[in-house]
Amino acid sequence: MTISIVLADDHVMVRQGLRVLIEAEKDLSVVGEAEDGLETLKLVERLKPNVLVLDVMMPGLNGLEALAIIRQRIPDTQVVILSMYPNEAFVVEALKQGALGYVLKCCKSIHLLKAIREAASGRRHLSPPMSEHSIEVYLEKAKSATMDPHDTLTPREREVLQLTAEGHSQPEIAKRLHISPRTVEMHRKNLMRKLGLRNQADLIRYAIDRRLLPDQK
Amino acid sequence: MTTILIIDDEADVRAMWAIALRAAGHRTMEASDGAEGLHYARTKHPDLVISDLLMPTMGGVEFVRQLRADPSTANIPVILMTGIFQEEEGRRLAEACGVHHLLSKPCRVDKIIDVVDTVLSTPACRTALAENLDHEHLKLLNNTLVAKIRELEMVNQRIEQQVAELERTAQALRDNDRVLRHFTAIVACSDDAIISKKLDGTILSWNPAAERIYGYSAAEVIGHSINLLAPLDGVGEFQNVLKRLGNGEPLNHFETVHSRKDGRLVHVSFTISPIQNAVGQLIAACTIARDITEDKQAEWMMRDQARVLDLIFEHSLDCIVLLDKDYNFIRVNQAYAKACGRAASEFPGHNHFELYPSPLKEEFDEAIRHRVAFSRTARPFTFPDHPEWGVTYWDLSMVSIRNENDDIELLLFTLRDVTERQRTEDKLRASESRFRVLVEQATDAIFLHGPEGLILDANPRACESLGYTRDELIGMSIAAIDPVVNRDTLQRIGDQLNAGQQVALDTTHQRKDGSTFPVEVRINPFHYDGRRVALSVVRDITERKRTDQALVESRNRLESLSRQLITTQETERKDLARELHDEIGQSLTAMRILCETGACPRGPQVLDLVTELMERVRNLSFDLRPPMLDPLGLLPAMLWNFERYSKATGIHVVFQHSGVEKRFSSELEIAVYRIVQEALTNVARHAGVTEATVQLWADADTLGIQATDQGKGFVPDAVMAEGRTGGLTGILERVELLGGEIEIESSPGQGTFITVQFPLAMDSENEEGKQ
Repeated sequence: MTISIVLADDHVMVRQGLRVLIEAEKDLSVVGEAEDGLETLKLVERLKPNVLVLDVMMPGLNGLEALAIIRQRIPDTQVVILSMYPNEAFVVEALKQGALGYVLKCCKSIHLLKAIREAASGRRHLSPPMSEHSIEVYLEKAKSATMDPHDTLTPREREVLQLTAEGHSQPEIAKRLHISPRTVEMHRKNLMRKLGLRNQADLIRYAIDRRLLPDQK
Repeated sequence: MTTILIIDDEADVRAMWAIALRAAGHRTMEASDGAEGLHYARTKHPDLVISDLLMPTMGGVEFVRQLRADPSTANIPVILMTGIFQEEEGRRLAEACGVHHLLSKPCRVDKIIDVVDTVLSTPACRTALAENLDHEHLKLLNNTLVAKIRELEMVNQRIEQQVAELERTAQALRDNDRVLRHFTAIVACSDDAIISKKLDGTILSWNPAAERIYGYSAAEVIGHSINLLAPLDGVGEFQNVLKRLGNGEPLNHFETVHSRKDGRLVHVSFTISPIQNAVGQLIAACTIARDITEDKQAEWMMRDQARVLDLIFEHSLDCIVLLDKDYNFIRVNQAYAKACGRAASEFPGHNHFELYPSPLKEEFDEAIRHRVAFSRTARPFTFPDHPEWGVTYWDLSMVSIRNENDDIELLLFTLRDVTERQRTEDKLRASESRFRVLVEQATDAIFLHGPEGLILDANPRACESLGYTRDELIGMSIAAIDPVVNRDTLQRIGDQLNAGQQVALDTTHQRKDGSTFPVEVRINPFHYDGRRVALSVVRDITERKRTDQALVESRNRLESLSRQLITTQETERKDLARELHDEIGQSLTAMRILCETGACPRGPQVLDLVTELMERVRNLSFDLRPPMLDPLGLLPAMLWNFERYSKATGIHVVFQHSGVEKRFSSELEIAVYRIVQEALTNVARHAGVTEATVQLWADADTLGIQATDQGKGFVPDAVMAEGRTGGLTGILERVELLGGEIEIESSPGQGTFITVQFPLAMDSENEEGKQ
C-alpha cells in the first residue's frame, strides 16, 4: 500500500529536494505540494493524504496554526513537522496540536522517511536530538513551579517587611538600615506589589501567616 | 342671788369679769358704754354696777351722774374701775359721785370679788350726789391737764436744747468749711506738691502742683501706692519714711529723687507731717514736696562757673579759638592746637591770618561789619594736608563779642570736624547713584508698591514692558496689570508680606494695549520712611516659557524616537532572522537534501559542511530573535535562552516562574526577553559567579522579572551618576517605554538584584485585541 503525501514548504528548492528524496521510496508517493499555510489547508482538504509533511515556519498561516486546523478538520491525515529548530518547545507544541512526527531539517533523511512511515501507521517519531526523554525533561522545566512570591523578596525587602510588621515607623526603619525614608518607602511599595498586598493590614496579616513576628518564632 | 351689771367698752374685760363673778355665784349683765348701762340699770334694776371710767359715748362719771339723778336707780351701788387716775384723785372723784369703791386696772379677780362682797353686804344707803362732783371732776381733769402741760414743757425744753446744739454744730461746720476752702485754695495754688496718704502709702489727695511736678493727674494716682513715685531702685523709701513718722521722728526738708510719669527723674525736697485724728492717733501723712531740679543745676553751675567754663573750653571736641578784633590769637583750646599740629601755647602773639592766610578773612570782616554771626556748614571748609589725618572737612563759625561800649572785645571762632559726616554723605551719594543706576538700568521691571498693591514707583523697564508712562503707573493697582490674580491670591500675598516673608509667583501681566505676557514675580517686603512697602521684581518669562515648551517637545520627540528605535531594531532583527532562516537556511536545507539523495556528485563530502553551515545560520537567526517567541511565547523563549546562555558562559541559571505560560503583548514579551538577556549578559561580564537566578511572575495586573546573582555587586547610584550604565541602559529604556518600574539593589560584595515590574492592565486589552 502506498502512503500518499502532501509536502508543505514555502521554499521551492526544499520541496523539490524532499520530492526527490521521497519519490525514491516505493511505498511513498507525493500527491501534492503547497507553499503556504492556506494553500496547504485547501490541498489537504481536497486530497486527504495519509501524511502531510509540514514546515513549521511558513508565511500566511504558520505551520503550527495550520496543523491545529488540519488535525481538527481532517483527522485521518497524519502530520510530520519539518523544522529547523531542535527545540523541545516546538516539539511539545507540535505534538500537542496532533502531529506524530517532528524532524529536523538538518538531520539525516532516513529520519524523515521513518517519521512518515511511522505517522502513516499512527505512531510517533522524533528525529535526534529530540527524544521522548528530552521532551519529558523540557516539560519538567517548563512546568509552572508554584513559585512562592516570598522567594522574590530581596534581602532589603525582607528587612523592611520584617521591621514594618514589627511596627517600626518608616523613619525608624530608615535610620536602622542606614537608608533614606524614600528608599524604605520604595522597598515597601515593591514588596507589597510582589506579595500582592494592598495595605498595612494585609502586610501584618501576611507576616502573621508567615510567622515572621518575633513572638511567633 | 344678786345681779351685777358690768360696763366696759372692751368685750374681753367684760367677759373676764363676768366669768369671775358668775363663779362667785352672781348673775351678770354686760353693757359696752354708759348709755347702754343706764338703759339696763333702768330696765333690769341690777344689784350692783361695775363700770369703767373712760368709755366712748358716755363715760363712767356721766353714767353715775345720770344713775343718781334718776330716783329709780339712784340707790344702785357702783364700783368704778380705772387705769388712769392716781388713787387719791380717783378716790375723791369716786366719793364725789357717791361711789365708795374705785379699783385700779388691772386688778386681781379675788380683789374684785372682795370689793363686790363688801359693797353688797353694806346696807343700802341713799347716796346722794355730792355737790362738789363737778368741781372734783373738773379739778381732776385740771390736775391731769397741768401734769400734761408740765410734761410737754419739759419735752419742749429738751427740743430747744437740741436745736441750739445743732445750730452750734452747723456754725462750727460752716466755720470749718470756710477754713477748709481756704486751705483747699492754698493747697491748690501751692507751688509745692501736697500729697496726703494713708499709712500704708495709698494716696488720698493730690494737688495740681503734684500733677505738674510728677506728671500724673489726680485721677491716675488717688487710690494707688505712693511707691509710684519712687525711682526703680528706691521702692520702699516711702514705707521707710512712714515707719519713721510712726516712730515720731522729725521729717523736715530732706532731699531725694523721685520718678516722674514720663520716667524722668526729679529732684525734690520734702517734708512729711503726721495727720492725727481727734484722739491724737496717727492716721495719715501729708507730704509736701518741692521740685528743686533747677535749683540743683543752678547750685552746681554757681559753684564754680569759671572752672566749668574752662573745662568746657579745654575738653570740647570742637576747636575753639579766641581772637582779638584784629584776629590775633588770645587763646586756643587743645582740639584746635592738635588740628593745627602745634602746642596751644604757641598761638598767643600770632595773627591768625598771618599764620593761616585765607580768603575767609574777607568773609569774617564782612560779617563783623554787618554785626552778624558767621557760619558755614553747607559747604564745609577743607583742610587739605594734615600730616596725620589727610584731607579733613570742617564746619566753622565766628561771632564777635562786644562790650558795653559796643567795641569788639573778642572774636569767638569755632571749628567742628565733620569729616566723618562728609565721607558718609559722599559714600551715601555714591551708593545711591549706584543703586539708582541699577534700578534704572535693570532688565527686570521693578515696582515699589504698598502692601495693598498700590504702585508707588516703577523703573523705566517696567514702563517699557507694560506700555505705560511712569506717571500713569504711579497710583495704579497691581491688580490692574495682573488680570489673572484673584482676590484670594492677593490676600495670601498680603498676609505673607505682612509676616515679612518673600513671595514668589508666576503670573501674567497685561500691557496697556491689552496684550499679555507670562511673568515671574518676586516680592520683598520692607520698611521705607516708616511705611510698610513692597518691592516687586518682575521678569518677562515669555522666552523661558518658550524654551520650556521646546524642551518638553524635544523630550517627547526623543522619547518617541527612542521607542521607534527599539521597535525598528526589533523589526530589523526579526526580518534578518527570517531572511537567514527562510532564504539561506532553506537553501541550505535543499542543498543538504540534494547532497544526500546523490543528485550532487560530491554530495557526501559537502554534506558535513552544509550541516555545519545550517547550524551556524540557525544560531545567527536565533540570536537575532528567538523563533519561538512569536508562535510559542515567553516561556519557551526563556528556557531556550537559558540553555544557550549556560552553554556559552558556564553559568547555571536557576529559573523560577509562575503565571507566565499565558501570552502577553509582543512588545512586552520581547521587552521582558531582552531585559533578562541584558541582565544575564551583565552577570556573565561583571558578577564573577557560576549561578544566577531568574524569577518571572505574573498575576492579573503585574508582570514581574527579577534577576539575581550573589556576585561582586556595585553601587547603583555611583554607576548611574557616572553614566557607566553599560547593559543597564537598554533595560532602563525598555522599562521606561512600557511604563514599568525598575529597582536595582546592589552593593559591593553583596550581589545584585534587578527587579522590574510592568503594569498589565493595558496589556491585557492589547492581548484581547490580538485574539
